[in-house]
Amino acid sequence: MKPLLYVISLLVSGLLVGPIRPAMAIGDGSKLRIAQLQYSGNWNTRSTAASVLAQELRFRTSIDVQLKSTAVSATEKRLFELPFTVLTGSGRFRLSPREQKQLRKWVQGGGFLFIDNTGRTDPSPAFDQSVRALVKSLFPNQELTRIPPQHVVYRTFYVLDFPSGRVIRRPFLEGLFVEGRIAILYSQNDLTGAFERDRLGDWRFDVVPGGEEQREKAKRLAINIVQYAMCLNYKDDQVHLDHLLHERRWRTPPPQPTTP
Amino acid sequence: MSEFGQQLREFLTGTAVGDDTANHTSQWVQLGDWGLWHQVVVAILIMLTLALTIWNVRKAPSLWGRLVVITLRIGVLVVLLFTFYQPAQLEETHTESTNSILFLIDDSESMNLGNKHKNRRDAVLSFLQNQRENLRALEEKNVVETYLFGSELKNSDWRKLDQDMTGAQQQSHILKSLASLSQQYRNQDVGGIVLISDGIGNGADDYAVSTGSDVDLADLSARLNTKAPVHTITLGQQAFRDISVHTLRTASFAFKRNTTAIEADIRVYGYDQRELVVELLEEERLVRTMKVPIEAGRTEYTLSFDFTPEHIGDHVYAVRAKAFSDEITTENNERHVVIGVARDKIRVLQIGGHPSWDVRFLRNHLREKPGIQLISFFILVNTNSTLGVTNTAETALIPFPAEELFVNELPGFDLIVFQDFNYGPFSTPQHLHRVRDYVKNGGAFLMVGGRLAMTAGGYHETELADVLPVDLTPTHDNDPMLDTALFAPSLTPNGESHTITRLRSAAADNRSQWSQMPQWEGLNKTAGLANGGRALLTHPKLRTGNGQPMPVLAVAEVGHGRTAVVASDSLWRWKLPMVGAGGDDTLYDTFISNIIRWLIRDPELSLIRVAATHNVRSLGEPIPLEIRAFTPDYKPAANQPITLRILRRPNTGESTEQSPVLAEEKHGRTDKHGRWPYVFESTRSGIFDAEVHTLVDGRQLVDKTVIVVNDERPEMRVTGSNNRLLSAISEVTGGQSRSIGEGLDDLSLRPPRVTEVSSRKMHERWNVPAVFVLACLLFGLEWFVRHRMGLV
Repeated sequence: MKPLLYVISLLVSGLLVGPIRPAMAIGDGSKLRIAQLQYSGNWNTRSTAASVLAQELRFRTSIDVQLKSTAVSATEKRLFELPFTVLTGSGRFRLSPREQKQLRKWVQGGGFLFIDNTGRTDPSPAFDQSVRALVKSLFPNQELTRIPPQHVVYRTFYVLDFPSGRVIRRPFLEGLFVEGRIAILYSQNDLTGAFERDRLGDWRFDVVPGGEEQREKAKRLAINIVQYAMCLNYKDDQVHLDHLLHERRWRTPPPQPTTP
Repeated sequence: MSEFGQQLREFLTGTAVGDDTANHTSQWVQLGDWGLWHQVVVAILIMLTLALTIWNVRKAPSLWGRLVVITLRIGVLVVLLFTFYQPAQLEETHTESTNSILFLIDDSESMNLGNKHKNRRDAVLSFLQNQRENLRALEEKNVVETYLFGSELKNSDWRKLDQDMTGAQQQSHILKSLASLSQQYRNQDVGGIVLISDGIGNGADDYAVSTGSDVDLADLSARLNTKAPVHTITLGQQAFRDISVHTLRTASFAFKRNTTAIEADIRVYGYDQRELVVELLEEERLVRTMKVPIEAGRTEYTLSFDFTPEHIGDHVYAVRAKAFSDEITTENNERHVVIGVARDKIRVLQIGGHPSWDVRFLRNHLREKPGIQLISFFILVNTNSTLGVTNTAETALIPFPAEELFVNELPGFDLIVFQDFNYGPFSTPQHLHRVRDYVKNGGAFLMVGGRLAMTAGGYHETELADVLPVDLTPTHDNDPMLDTALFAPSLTPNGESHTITRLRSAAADNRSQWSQMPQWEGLNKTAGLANGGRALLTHPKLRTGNGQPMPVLAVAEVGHGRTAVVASDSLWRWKLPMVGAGGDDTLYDTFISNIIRWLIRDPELSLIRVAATHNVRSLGEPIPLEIRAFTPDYKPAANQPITLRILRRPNTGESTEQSPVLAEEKHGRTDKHGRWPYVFESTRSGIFDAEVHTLVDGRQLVDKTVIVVNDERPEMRVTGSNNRLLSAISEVTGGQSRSIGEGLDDLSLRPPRVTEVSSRKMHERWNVPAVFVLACLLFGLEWFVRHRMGLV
C-alpha cells in the first residue's frame, strides 16, 4: 500500500467533529461482555476488575461493551456466547476433564482466554504450575511461549513497550497460538489487580514500582488485549506498520525485574 | 591381321570383347558355380593324378624325360581345371538416364504486390521469358518440370506460365511445398530445384524457422528433406510502401491488476523520416500509444505494450499501426489477440465501524484465506467520549485515509465491505458516489448490519443507497429501525436455489441445514426490496410497510456490479456459538465464501462454462467451442438443455450496425460428461460474443467468451520479400541464391545418378575349340613322349 494512503484524512481520535452516535451492537449478545472463568478454587480474586476494564473500554474505545461482567464455568454452554474470558487466581487449581474438553473446544472455536496470575507479592508458583499444566493438557503438543515486544498486542490501541500490571515481576507476556492467533494469553504481573477497586470505589492495591503511571500502563495493556481479541492482528497490516514506524520515534525501556 | 586369321581366332577363342570405355565394360566371370566340396574333391583328384604320374615316370631313363612328362601332365590338368570352372567374359554396354530439374514458382497473392507498372508476377514472367534459351538448353539434357505453389502444388509448364500463374493462392507454404515436391520425386533423380518466390512464407514450418530476418538454419535443415540443391531466385524489394503488424506475442491469460505485456512485431517498407504510431486497444478502448521514429533501411520494429487489465474475463486486445495514405494495403495494420483475465488474489477492503465479534470473525475468515488480500480499517476509538483518548501520539491510531481509499484505490478492490460503519464522521460523505460508481462499473459491495449501518447509519437518500438491494427508510429515530429480538431467518424461494445460501449441495439437505442454524440477534429494518433486489433470507415475522417479509439477506445486480446486504450484526453466532451448540462452524466460512464469490462473479462458481479452443481465427476456419454444464454440487450435468447465442458486435466502421447482431442461436443438450461440443463457422468477420444460457434450479445461468474472426489475408500480413529465408534454403541444401537479374547461367546441377545397362553379352571362354585342341595336343604329346621313353 502506498504511503499516500495515510496522507489525507481526519484523525480518528480527537480531531473528529460533528454528531457521533455511540457505537453499539443491535442485540446485547453481540456486545463484548467480559467473563470470568469459574473453577473449583479461588477463581474470583479480582471481582471488580472486569467491570472497571469495561468502563475504561467504553470511555476510550468504540467497542460496544456491557459494563456488567459475568462469571461462567467451562461446562456451561453459555461460555460459547462469551468469546473473551478471564481466568484469574493465585493458588493451585485443576479443571475437570469435562471442563478441559469444553475449554479446548471453545479456544479452538475462536475464544480468547486471558490468564492473570494475581499472586500478592510475586507470581503464585502454584497458580503458575496449574496454568502450565492446564495448557499442556489442553494442547499437549504446544506450550506457552513469550510474546516478543514487537508483537501486535503491544500496539493494537496504545503503543506499549512492555507489559505492566500491579507489579512488574515478569516483564513479558506468554501466549499460546492457535491458527496464527494468540488464543491464550498469560500475564504474571497481576494485571487485573492494577484496576481492582474496593467497595468505596478506591483502588484496592497500590501499583509498584511505577505508581499511577504504571496503573495507566496496565489499563492500556488491558485495553490492548481486548482490542487484540476483537481485531486480531489488524494492526499488523502493512499499512498500519508503515504508519506507526514513521510516526513514533521514542521508546521507553522496561524496568529491571526486582529479585525477590 | 587378315580376315581369315580373324575368323580363325574367333573360331578358336570366341568373339573378342572391346576395350573398356565410359559406356562399355567387360569383366571375367566364372560360370562353374561349384560348391566347396566339389572343389576339394577336384583338388584331391588333381593331387592323386600328379602323384600317380610321378610314380609312373620314376623308372624313366632320363631326368629330362620325367620332367617333360610331368609338365605335360600338369598342362593337361590345367586345361581340365579351366573347363571345370567354366570361365567367361561378361560384356556390358551402359546408357545414362536424364534427371529432372524442378522449377517451383510462387503463385500466392503476395506475387501480385508491386507498383502499378510491374508486380512480382510480372517480374517472374519476364525473367523466364529472358531465360528461355537457358531453359531449352536444360531441357536437352534434363527433364524440366514446372510447379506453381501457394498452399497447394500445381503442375504447370514454364511456357504457359502467363496463363497458369494467377497469383490466386491465399497462402504460401514454402517449406511444405518443397517437402511435397521431394516426396513426389523421392524415387526419381532430381538434379536441382529452382525456387522463385518473394520468400513470404506463412505455413507453420515457415513461421517456425523464420521470424523476420532471423532464420534457424539447424531447424530449417531438419525440415528440408530434399537431397537436391535448391537454387533460389529472389525478387528483390519492390518499390512499394506498407506498414504491417506482423505478429503479436503475449500469454493467453493475465491477472487482474497485474501488469502484463503484448509484444508486437511491426514491419515497415518504403518509409523513413516519419513517425510510426502504434496503438494498443482493449475492446476498442485506447489503452496506450507508442510512437517510434522510422529509421532509413530498417524494416523490423518490436514494440512492447505494458498494460494492467482491470476487468475479469476474456477481452479482445488489438494492436493497430496508424496507416499512411500511400500504403499498398491497410488490411495488415491491425492484429487482434484475446486474453483471458483472471484474479490472482481477491482484494477486499473491510471497513468496520467498531470492533465487534462480527467484525473479528469476518476478518479472521478473510485473513485466513490465501486467495484473499485483505485491507482492514476499523474505527477503534470512542470519539464521543470526553474521557477518551486525549493524546493520540501514545496510541497506534492512524488517520482514516478516506481520500486515498475512495479516490485513488477504490477500483483496485474486488470487494468493499461496510460492516456496521457509519460514513458520516470520517470524510466519507463526499465519496459515497464513488462507491456507487464503482459498483455500477463492475465492483462488488457488501453492507453488513448493525446500529451504525443502513438507515441507522444515515445511508437513506445517499448515493450509496442507489445500489443497495433494499430500500432504506428515512432516518427518524434509530430505535424503530432496529429489532433486537432473536430470530431464525427463513429461506425464500430465491434463497433455496441461490449460490450464496447453498450451505449443502442437495436442496433438501440445504433446507434442513438452514432450519438448524443458530438464531441471529437483531435486525436492521428496511422499507423492503429495492427495484432489482432479491431477498434470499427474510425475517420469519417482521413485515415491511407493504406487507412483504422483512429482508435479512438481499442481493442485487446493479450495472456491471453486484451488491448484497446482510441486515444483522450477528453472523458471528455461526462461529463460536455454533461450536458450543455442537454444530458445524465451517458453514459460516461456506456462507461468507459464497457471498464473496457471488459478489465478485467468481468464474469457478459458474455452473455453465464456455471456452473457445482458439479465440482468434481466420474467416472460414472452424472454431470449436467447449461448453460444459455442472449440477449445483459441481458434478457434470448430463442431458442439460443449453442455448448458445453468438452475437456479432457492431463494427465501428459500419454505421448501419448500432447494436450486436445475432449471428447464430442453437439449442442442444450436454452429453453424459456434461459437455456439448459445438463448432462455430462464421460467414462474416468481426468480433463475436458467444453466450451460453441454461436453467439450473430455476436460475438462469450465463457464461460467455469472445471470438475474433478476421478476414485478413495471410499473404498481406507481411508484404516485403524475405530474401533471407530463400538464401538460407539455398545455403542448407547446397544451392545458390541469385537475384532475379542474374539469370540461370551455370547453375550447379547434380549429374544423373542412374545408369541403365542397355546390352549384356556372355562370352564363354572354356567352351571354345581352342581348349579342345589344346587338350588333344597335350594328351597326344604326352603319349608320344611316354612311348619314346618306353613307358607305354
